[in-house]
Amino acid sequence: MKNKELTQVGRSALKIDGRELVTGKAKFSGDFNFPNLLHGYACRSKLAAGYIKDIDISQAFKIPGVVDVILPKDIPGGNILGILPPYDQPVLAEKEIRYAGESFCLVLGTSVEAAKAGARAVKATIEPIVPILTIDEALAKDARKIHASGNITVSKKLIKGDSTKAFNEADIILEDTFETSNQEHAYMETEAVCAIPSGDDRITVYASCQSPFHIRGHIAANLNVPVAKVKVIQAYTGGSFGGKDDAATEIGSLAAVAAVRQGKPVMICLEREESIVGSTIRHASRIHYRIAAKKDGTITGKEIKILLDGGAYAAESPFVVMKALIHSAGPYIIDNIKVESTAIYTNKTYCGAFRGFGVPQVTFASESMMDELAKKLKMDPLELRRKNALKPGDLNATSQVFQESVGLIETIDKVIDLNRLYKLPSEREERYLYGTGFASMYQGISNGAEGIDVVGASVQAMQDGSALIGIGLTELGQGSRTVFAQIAAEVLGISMDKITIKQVDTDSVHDSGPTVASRSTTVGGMAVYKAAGEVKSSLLKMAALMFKTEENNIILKNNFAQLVFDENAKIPLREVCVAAYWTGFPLMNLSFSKAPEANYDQENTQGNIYVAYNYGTHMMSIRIDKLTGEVKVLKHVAVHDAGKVVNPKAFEGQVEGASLTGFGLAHLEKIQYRDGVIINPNLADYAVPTINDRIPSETISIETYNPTGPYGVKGIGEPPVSGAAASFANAVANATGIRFKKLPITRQDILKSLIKI
Amino acid sequence: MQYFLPATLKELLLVLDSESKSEIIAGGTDLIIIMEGSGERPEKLIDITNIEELIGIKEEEYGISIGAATTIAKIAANSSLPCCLRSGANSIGSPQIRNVGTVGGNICNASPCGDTLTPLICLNATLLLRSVNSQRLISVEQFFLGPKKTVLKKNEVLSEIRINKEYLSGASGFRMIGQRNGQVISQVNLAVWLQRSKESGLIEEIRIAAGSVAPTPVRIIEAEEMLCNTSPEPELIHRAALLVQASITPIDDVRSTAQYRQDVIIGLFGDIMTQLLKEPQSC
Repeated sequence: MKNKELTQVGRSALKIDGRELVTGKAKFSGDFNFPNLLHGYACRSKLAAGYIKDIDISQAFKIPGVVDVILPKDIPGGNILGILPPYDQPVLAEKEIRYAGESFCLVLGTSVEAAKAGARAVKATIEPIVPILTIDEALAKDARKIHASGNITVSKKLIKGDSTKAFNEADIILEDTFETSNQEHAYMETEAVCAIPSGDDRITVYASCQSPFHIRGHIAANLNVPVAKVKVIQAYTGGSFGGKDDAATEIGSLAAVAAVRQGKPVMICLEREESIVGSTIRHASRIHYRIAAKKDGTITGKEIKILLDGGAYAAESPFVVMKALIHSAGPYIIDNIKVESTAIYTNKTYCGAFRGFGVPQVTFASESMMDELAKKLKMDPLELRRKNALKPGDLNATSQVFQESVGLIETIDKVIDLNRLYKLPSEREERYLYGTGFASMYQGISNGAEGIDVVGASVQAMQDGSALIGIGLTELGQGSRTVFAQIAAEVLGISMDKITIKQVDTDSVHDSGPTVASRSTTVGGMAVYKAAGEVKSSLLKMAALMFKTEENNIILKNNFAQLVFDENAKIPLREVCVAAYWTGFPLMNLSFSKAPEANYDQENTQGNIYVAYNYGTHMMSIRIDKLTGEVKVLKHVAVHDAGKVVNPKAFEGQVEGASLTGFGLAHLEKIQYRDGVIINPNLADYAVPTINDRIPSETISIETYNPTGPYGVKGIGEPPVSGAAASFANAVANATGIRFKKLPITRQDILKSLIKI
Repeated sequence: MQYFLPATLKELLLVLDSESKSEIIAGGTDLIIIMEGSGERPEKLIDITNIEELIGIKEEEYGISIGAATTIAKIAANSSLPCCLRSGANSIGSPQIRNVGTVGGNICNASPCGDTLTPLICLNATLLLRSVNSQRLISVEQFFLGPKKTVLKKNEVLSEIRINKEYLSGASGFRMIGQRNGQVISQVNLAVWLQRSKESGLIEEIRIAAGSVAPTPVRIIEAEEMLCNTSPEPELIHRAALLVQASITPIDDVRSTAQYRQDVIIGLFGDIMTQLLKEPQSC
């Protein structure tokens, strides 16, 4: 797998699905139309907590066009949601309401308008109970239990070395508490599904989703049918960022139940408000952080307590707890660490996966503390990071050692160079404050502690020299289809225009797990690489027969099989494919890539977790308007070690997008609750960044070679979120001299603090 | 619900003049959201955006007349209009919203944060309200009674907005702030119009209006009086800004705290004044 003479990998290829997306040819789930299509619209609770006493659906049927109302008792299977234990969530609430926005029935109508009017006409009698809305309320001694198990969803520990000793012997101890707010994914396309029953007792569901196999399993469980009866097809998906897992299983199951019951196709498309209140958001957090160091800047110990407000249901909280736990100490050599990471139930919208998955929250705390330590030690913040940075061969927080592909120091050095060259505007006006902030981070690639990590991919060469690729990982806008095509094209020596990537259809691709954890290029890419390699070996065998030579004298390149020592001696690959087919060499292969299994002590979270880490250092220079609190980002540099970059243009897009999400988290976005009800469930009052809020990100890749990915790749989808958010907070602190301990740091927060001084 | 699309003002006034519950739609960028939120529907929805008499910006002897159904985008792009009104219009929503939303809609929606309202107040605009049997002219300042409440009677429509010549000369500016830079609703907006003496350079007349800081957009007369007949230095501008701050009665809401509104208005006011006194033509 040496990286010599690569022709496709490392090239900025055009997005293979770009043309249909920008011309509007691509059909999204909500674009489908079928004869007799019904539309589903859910009744949702306006109260944050209560007992359901009665649901009167009689008035709904008086609305013209209303066809049916689905109640919990109408779900043939388990009325269950949740992609991992404790499976504590119903598809439709039956007895108890646990958050404002929870669905308790679904109205079917011949139009969206009819279904919606029907939903308004349903009269629900819900006996209110006092909602539990904060971490403190949930943890209070005699707090009401939101679930029978109590108000703690899950709690995990990480213990390395002896932190008590480290703190006893420290020259300097700093401690502080940090908080972050919930964040909404705000994808362009809201959640949508369309379910179509068929005569063979099967059901086909088109879904805007991240993990079609999760949906398939949930539909089968809620319909009470064998999984093989269910077919899920991922339609083009307008963004997901982690958010189209849980809610997609909810509406996928509901649409399927309704479609089977009615014998008609059923579509459910969430409105923006539903997409905000009734689908996962990023965990809010409160992180208590202690750091022990020597006078020379060596960090000797950390003690961290993470509390994640996970809302009403567990969803992916158990995994987010782990990811926050593992990453909270930062990308540094620290011998003594004690972390406790806990998710809490509250009566609010449930939280789940969101790009970064717990890492942005802890990185904000960790990197704020690094700057405070540097200040205390009168040390340059980048020097402090460099001094403690992980290198190849060092033990990280879980005592995992990587001998290769640990490029953190290179990212710091790059930023040191750039910062030296960059001058903040020299004509500083009285009106503005200027500052620069830095942050280093790392993020584990692969499912890691979240379970087995296997991807299956098929590669099929056609007799005309083209190839069809199937893989169970989804394209969400991140560009994975293009990356898979590049890898297959590289292996097979064919051009990109000859590659087609199948739509993810659970009937035709292997369950490859969820498209999460920045794992597609690394683990998925490896499966494509292996499958393409098998097909290649058939082609080489055939070409060797045709050339009457040995296989190792032949290379596949530019749609030809050619002799290594005479590039003019070549046979078109299509002729090799035809000959291989008629000779009986297999032209299709299904291969699996399995990441090395996580192997660790579950009590203390010590051992090998991820197949690789992405490392990064960000620099952000800002200007603050003292009159209004407005912040202008003057410069943002994101330097990442993401291994070999397959598609530099797509890499740039991922870094820019993730950085903007981090900027939103740090500066703009705040889910606001009143009595447990979200009061800004729209994109006017919830300030997701617009095109005018874009930050001028520069993307730099430090390429290391990761042996666990094809061609040395790692992943980049999530990591920049943390770097951008944390460097923003440090830039504000640098500009104002005020340490803000809560994200977002809004214009209002800044102006208020400036006036106070 | 019945949907009406009258082609003339006369038709419109006839449709309006009935007992049934009707609602005028003039772009719908606010109304549709309200209707979708409540689920309620008026008996009649009367769309006025097909009435040519209500569309366009015309020069008249007295100054300029703007048809109520003129889109926000047209106002933002029209160089014969004063700077504050154009930039107020340009601050509203996104290009899509500005292409559909109308100035009459912005006014009659009577949101305290409407970005054309403060410019129209400081330009001393008058509104022509018509019904089947009568018409009346009213100062825009008198039009607003509270959030979403106006003096408009059930059978009346706002047909045009008039700006007198004297307010087309002079300098004006608009500033708003929101939670972010694009597609944003004002946490506070502020418009100022002023006329300086050609000889002395003193401010002869000044009008100041602030939005999203009280139940209706408000004119701030105390500050106007303080600045009249002066050639203000930064110190005086700051004192006037404090008066502006003292004149407003903001509340906490989903977009902003009352405190931020109080704090930021000083900066916004200073900003506009400095710009108007330094380079009044830049718009």
